[in-house]
Amino acid sequence: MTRMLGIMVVLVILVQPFAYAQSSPLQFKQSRDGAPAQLLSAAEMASLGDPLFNLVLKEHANLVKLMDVLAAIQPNAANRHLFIVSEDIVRSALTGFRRAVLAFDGTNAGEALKGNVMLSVSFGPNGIGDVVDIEGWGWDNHRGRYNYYKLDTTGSAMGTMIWKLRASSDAAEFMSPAERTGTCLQCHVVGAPVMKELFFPWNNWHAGVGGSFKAEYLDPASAQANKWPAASTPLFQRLSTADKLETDFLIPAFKRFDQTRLQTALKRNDATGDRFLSPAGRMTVQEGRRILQPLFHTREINLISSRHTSGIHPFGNATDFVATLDIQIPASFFLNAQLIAGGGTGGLGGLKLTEANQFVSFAKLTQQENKELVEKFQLRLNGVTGDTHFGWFVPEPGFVDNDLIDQALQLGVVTPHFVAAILAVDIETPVFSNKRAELFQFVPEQFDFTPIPAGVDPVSVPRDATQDGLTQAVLANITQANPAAGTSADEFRKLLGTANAVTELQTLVKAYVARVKNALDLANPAQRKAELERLYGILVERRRLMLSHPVLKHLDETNGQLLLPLPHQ
Amino acid sequence: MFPYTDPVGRNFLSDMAVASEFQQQLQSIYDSFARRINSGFTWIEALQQLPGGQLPQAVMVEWAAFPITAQATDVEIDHDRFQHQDEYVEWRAERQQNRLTQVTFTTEFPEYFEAFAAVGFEALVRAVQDAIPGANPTVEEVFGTGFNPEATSSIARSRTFRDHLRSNPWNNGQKGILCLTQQFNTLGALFNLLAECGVLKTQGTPENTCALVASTGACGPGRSSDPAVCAEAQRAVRGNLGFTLRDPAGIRIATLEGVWRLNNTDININDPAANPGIWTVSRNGRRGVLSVSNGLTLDGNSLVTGAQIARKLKVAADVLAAPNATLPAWARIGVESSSRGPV
Repeated sequence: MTRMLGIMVVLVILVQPFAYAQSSPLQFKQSRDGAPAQLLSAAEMASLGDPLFNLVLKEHANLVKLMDVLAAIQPNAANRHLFIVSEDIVRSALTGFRRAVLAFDGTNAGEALKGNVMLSVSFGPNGIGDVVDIEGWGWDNHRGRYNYYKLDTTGSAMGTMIWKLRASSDAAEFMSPAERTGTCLQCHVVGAPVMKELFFPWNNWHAGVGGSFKAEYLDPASAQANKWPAASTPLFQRLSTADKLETDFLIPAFKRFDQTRLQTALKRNDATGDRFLSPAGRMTVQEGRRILQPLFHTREINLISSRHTSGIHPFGNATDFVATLDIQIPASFFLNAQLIAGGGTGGLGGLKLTEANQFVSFAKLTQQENKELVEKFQLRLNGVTGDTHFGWFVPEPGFVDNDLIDQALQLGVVTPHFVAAILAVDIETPVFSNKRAELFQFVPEQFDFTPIPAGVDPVSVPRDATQDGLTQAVLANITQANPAAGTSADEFRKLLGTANAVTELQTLVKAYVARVKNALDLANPAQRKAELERLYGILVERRRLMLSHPVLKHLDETNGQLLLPLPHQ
Repeated sequence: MFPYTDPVGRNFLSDMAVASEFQQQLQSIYDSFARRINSGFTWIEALQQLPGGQLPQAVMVEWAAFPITAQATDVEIDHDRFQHQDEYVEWRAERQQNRLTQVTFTTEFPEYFEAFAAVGFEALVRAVQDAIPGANPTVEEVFGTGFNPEATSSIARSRTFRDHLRSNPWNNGQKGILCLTQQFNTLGALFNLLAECGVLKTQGTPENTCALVASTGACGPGRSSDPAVCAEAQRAVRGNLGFTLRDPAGIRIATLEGVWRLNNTDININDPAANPGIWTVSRNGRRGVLSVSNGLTLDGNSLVTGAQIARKLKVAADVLAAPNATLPAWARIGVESSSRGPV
């Protein structure tokens, strides 16, 4: 999650030929915004099995008061957790709206709740209303899918609130932009929950650890004057912070989802249902293109920023700006650090080329330099010159997709050699790379691999080119296409043909680090300024690419006003 | 003198000489940092003397144990504790046949063991054995070669013990882990952080106060812990609050996050009654031991390193605060240099 179905905040109250009567079991579904509510079939009802359905909607879809819904999911209030997000989060004025995400842990009626069900509601200064639109999802562990629901008045001529099934994550990865229009899957691209700012400092979230932003005006424990009255309401006694949502709820949820995605792509033994293992100890991938697509196409993104403030947020104070303070540029701006280096807060195994993290030790600019860049590029946030609270806010490769690749790497589906080869292509463009995208055509749907035992680091396994079925197949496909010298396909072919592409990638990373480090040398101000402008140009371009992307543009729920600073049009 | 309590909840093993040593040390630390000019950090006694029996506000500052500054692999972070483990949490990862079997986390500061060392070798042995049952430390192990604890002063014993911590096998991982040893993980650093960040800044935000004071060496802006503690101190002073570290001063293990499963069944890892001895927090929250058995997974992954667990481990420092105007006159901001201290 977070802003589940957030694109559908503009409700369309339909004029129905008749009003459906509300009754206890969930009765309705709605395929997309603006579409009429329809009756669920018995088969559709039978296909639902997530905790939100089992605890609430299966028998108690008449529950429309938030507190009643919360009690039905988790009667013990101590096991509820409240998280807050908004592009307005730094504005403490008693105005506007924030989005609350409600998560649960513990169990209820045999349902494990942690990371298996969440709700999302909007609220104003006075707190969360008694009866409000609710967006919710539940993870059906049996079927390995997320189900998305919404409570609103759609389908009611009387304006009463009605729960509706809105989508499931089945086949989300295959949907076209047109098919996603008006559905939850417009934002939940691969079907998983969305937390755009997943990692530190969680720009736009109430947090607090490590110098991240703490929305004191919402914190019941804060001594700040002029707090929102919401902070004094019972729900806010369970106010928690974004770091907990990340580490305790969503990263485990993403890992489980990716495990399901990966496992469903493997050939099974018809008789036992177990993963098929050949006499030679090989497994088979049957949906290779679905699993490997993230290495080539940017399908999911997260938004990362510097861990340091810009000092020039439009809702901040003039005194926030300290010209000499550093703004560290995140490593993932320069390359796919999660997969190349591994480790970090996401904890991926990766290729363990920790040189990729070295950017953070020198790639910094001052708040003054950042301010000059914002002015040079004529960036606007909320219609005025300014920057996000934490500087250098930019799309990075989505964790949910990086984790999928990492799980494939850990299992042996892809070799470190293959991952290194593709990441080396257009290495300086970790998202929205056309060069990598055009190489996807060479990926086969089916191939064999030798599974790596759990706990064994794939990077430590000596490369055996004869067992690398994927590399062999891709090489064959490229060779058959006979690409011209100098093309991306030619580069990819050469990398795959090396003895070990991990070494090649390491060399590339080191050279890249050295080049940027030299270009940002403080001893050469003119060169440094030019390099910062080049890098900032890339930053702005990535924001533009996200907002012009047919699917990812929907992640901006502020109509281009508050999420990403962009040049004045 | 304030009756500073045993930070690990062991009543100084009923050794009043140790208690006295430790309490004098703590008194000196509190006094030293409470005298930081214009800082909201104040004496702990002041928070006990609020008018009308008011209680101070308790603020918990929390962060993750994983060292985000480390540009290293998880295995390297495990192996090179003194280089990388810099978030006031250190750990020892034990392996058998290349398989992770146990991880011991500590947030104990060396000052506690120093107090025992100051009293004598026998007292120190009792302290080590209390932390590591079955330990049989020798003089050479805890003090180094050629040191005669009988022929040296208490100060020399405590200093030598501390200086030798990296070579002490009961601390450096060879045989066990006793206390924080990484260069930035010191009790003085924690107090200094609060005192320095408790000086009102007219520029910047509470969140970047750490960077503003970084040149003093008081705060590491790249860490998780320092900016979190620093921001809270700055928020307090901006809110006209005086504050101090709650007794017992230190860092405690707060919670272990993530989805834990044993043999494919979810377990509540933080509930001792529900986690079949897998995660044991002891010593007043200063020590946590994870026993890694086959079938134990974290977020679906088998356990390979201590760093993997550190990502999910939250620790906390407890701060007490009260409006500056309600503090005794001798404890308020601005009187530090002339104050006689607690009366």
